[in-house]
Amino acid sequence: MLANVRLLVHLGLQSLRAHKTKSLIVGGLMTFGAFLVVVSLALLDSVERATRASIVQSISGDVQLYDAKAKDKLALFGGFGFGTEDLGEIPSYAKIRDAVTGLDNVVGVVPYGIANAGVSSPGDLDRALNALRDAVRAGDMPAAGPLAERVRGIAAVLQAQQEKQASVSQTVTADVKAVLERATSDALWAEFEASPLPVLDWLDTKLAPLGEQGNTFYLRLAGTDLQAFNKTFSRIKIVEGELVPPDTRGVLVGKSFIDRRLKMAVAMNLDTVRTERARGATIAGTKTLQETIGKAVRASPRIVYLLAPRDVAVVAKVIAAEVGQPESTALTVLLREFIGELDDANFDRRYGIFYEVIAPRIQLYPFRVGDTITMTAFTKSGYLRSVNVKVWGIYTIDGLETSDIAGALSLCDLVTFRELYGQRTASLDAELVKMKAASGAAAVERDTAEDALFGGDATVEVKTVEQAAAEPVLEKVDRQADFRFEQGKVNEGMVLSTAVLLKDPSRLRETITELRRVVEPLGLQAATWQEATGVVGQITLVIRGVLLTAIFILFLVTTVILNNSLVMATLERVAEFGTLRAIGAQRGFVNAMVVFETAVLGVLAGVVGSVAAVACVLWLGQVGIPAPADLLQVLFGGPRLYPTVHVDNVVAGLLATLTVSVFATLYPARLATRVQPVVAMQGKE
Amino acid sequence: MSAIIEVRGVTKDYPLGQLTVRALHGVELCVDRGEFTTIAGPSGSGKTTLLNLIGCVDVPTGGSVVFDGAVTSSLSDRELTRLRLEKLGFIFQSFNLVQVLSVFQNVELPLLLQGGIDVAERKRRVESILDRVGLSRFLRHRPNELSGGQRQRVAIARALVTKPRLVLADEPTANLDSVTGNSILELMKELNQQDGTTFIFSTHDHRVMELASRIVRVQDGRVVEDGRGDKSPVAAAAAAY
Repeated sequence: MLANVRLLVHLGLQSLRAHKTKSLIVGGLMTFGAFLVVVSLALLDSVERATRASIVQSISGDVQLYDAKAKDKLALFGGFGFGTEDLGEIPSYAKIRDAVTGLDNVVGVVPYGIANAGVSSPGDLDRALNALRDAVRAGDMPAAGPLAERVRGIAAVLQAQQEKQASVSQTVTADVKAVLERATSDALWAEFEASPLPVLDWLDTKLAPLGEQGNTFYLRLAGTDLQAFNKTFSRIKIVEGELVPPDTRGVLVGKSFIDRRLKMAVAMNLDTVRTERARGATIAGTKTLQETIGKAVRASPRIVYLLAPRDVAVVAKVIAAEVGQPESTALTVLLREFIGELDDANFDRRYGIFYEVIAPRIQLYPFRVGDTITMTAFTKSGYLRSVNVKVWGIYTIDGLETSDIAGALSLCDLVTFRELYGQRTASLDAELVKMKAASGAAAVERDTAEDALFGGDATVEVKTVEQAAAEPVLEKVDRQADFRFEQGKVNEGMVLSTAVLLKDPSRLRETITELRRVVEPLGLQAATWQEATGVVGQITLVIRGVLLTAIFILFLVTTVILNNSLVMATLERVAEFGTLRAIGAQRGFVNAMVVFETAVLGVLAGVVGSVAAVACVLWLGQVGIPAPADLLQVLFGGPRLYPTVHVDNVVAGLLATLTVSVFATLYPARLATRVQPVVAMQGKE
Repeated sequence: MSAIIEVRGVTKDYPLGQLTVRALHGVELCVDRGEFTTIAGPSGSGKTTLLNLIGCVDVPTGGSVVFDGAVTSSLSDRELTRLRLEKLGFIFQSFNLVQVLSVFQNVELPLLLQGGIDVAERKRRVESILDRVGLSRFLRHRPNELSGGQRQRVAIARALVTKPRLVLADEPTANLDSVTGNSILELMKELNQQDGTTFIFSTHDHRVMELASRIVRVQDGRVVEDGRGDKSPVAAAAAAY
């Protein structure tokens, strides 16, 4: 038997040698196939591991549990629309946590509730006026002085803009002109010194409408038990501020999100130029960078708004020196030149100046860490609901500091989430009752509405509600930023989903089966992280699908080519097969001979291709593959992917080539076994 | 002497498009063990067809071929193959060696196919038979490194290494020059006499006929003459041919 196998291998090898050209072409094709399989599987696995590391270990966990009756699929990073998905509810998180925590392979359980909230931020003028009013009301005149200067400064910038506008169009009315003239006049500010409140009223009603609109931005909020979250997800790092303390309401915002979406336009555009230059682009050679600089130039007057008047001189001095203009030049003009004339030679220096001299003196983001922001959301039932929440800190995900997607979720406590989600609570119900009582409204049934409202016995009652006497109806306490709660009790309540982090992610399939067994009786379903993270998670599945299809097609083509060439070779060797049959070789032997020959080629090609592929992946693992786009950063788990190759990949490559070679020989081998021994008698050598 | 092969009223038809061509018409032939028989006839006479039937590489359309007591048409393909492997040796007109195997491996091949023979025994038998055909110095050579005569000797060694009951040779000297052809024939004759192996040839070569102990002449698919026994009729037939 062994001798026969040796004979077959020998026959195979010798035959391959005898048909060098054919062997080289077919072998080359299969080598390429094996190479492709091993490299692409290694890359795919590496990407999946990296994506897993960036998503699973920072936000999603390996498995997400949510209501089995959910109408929408869970998509942590958002689905295709911006609406709040209907994910059903998990009535008690603690119950699920306790059921799941005991399971083997589960290391962390974290509750989630996803809500989208809008945050409006006032314009620069509004902000300055608000601060000024607060200072005046508090009687803090030393603080009011600089704030008044800032308002006056902004009015001056507006005036300059209006003058320029007036020179090209006639839309600027005399009224506007008069308001701006007065706002910048010494007379007004002398009046302010004497009696600030009437002047403030005038500023609020006349000047404020001329200022820029504030902007509204949206946060995709993940409400969670922030302490448990921080313990479970090792890749989350607080880069500014601190983690929200236990039992406290608060929000953590993603750094890349505020940097890319909310940062002051000049800074954001300069950052973009810097990033692109670090990637090798030049300002001179890249049109988009020149356009980015153009955007920064157009946004530059805002710097003047944002600077306190006494800082204007400091900044003007430095900028004037840099651009070689007299210090007396208007700061808007200096900034226009400072940014507008950026080139590859001066960029790094000017970028440094911006961040050392200008940035510390202006507010770069709509809010600062420590600020309380008002978040407004449409609740599940369609009402608007607002909550005041303090921004405790800014976080990044380790390795994904610059990724947009990675920081897209803002994190908040569960109580805030439930408010915004519109969960009915006892206190809210009590509030509703009070509101109803205070308004004197009565419930009217539809069937009897006409009678009740206009019927004979209806009386029109005019009730005067004394404004001053009305007690404060809105129970504000639990919407305020300083509201405190007990996390333990909160965890008893409703969440939308639960993240489960596993000890050994390679056992995902088996653990998810176990999880399903436990949570299905509780009315929940279990989704893998890929299913639960929407487009982001599924992209690896899509890439895998596309690549595997491509490989399948390649192998199909290889099989056809190989099959053809083997059929030709078989026909050429009819005499040989006939002879073997005549001298006593069974059909099985001839069959094995043909299959072995190609199998030998398949194994050789597989080995050569795999070795080349391993070398290639090891090399890529050294140098890394850069991620040019944001999504790729998430997929690569950072700015570069350092792929690794595993034994499974090589085994898959070898199996693939072997399978192809065996498949391709099925028909030729059948042909060979059909050769009759009598052929040998007619054959020429 | 008992018959190794009995051909009884054999016919063989070949389809040729819509027609059927009858290559053999009721052939009767009996060959005893140890005979050195030649089947002679011009091209297309049916001698190769007859040889194919005797060699169990084909089965008759009518009549029967009995090889060593077994009716070939009743055997399966597998049984026929086994029978060829164990009881028959083939020597082909164009040698039909496996080009990618060495001389030693070519001769060893039938033993490997038989299975159950250990390495040492295989080596002993292959070397012994190659020694007898005078090729012990060429064990590692490839067929394409040998002359035509040497190749035919390898083929003879391959045919005999299994110690078959019957060796069939289809025009064994047709591709050889006369000197080489003669030496091949001498060798076969010698093996026939020493081991008592039965040989059947097809040929239209006088020298082969001269050496044969019996000449069966085939023409138009029929045995027209069967010279057996003393040497004279054979010689006469050879002379007449």
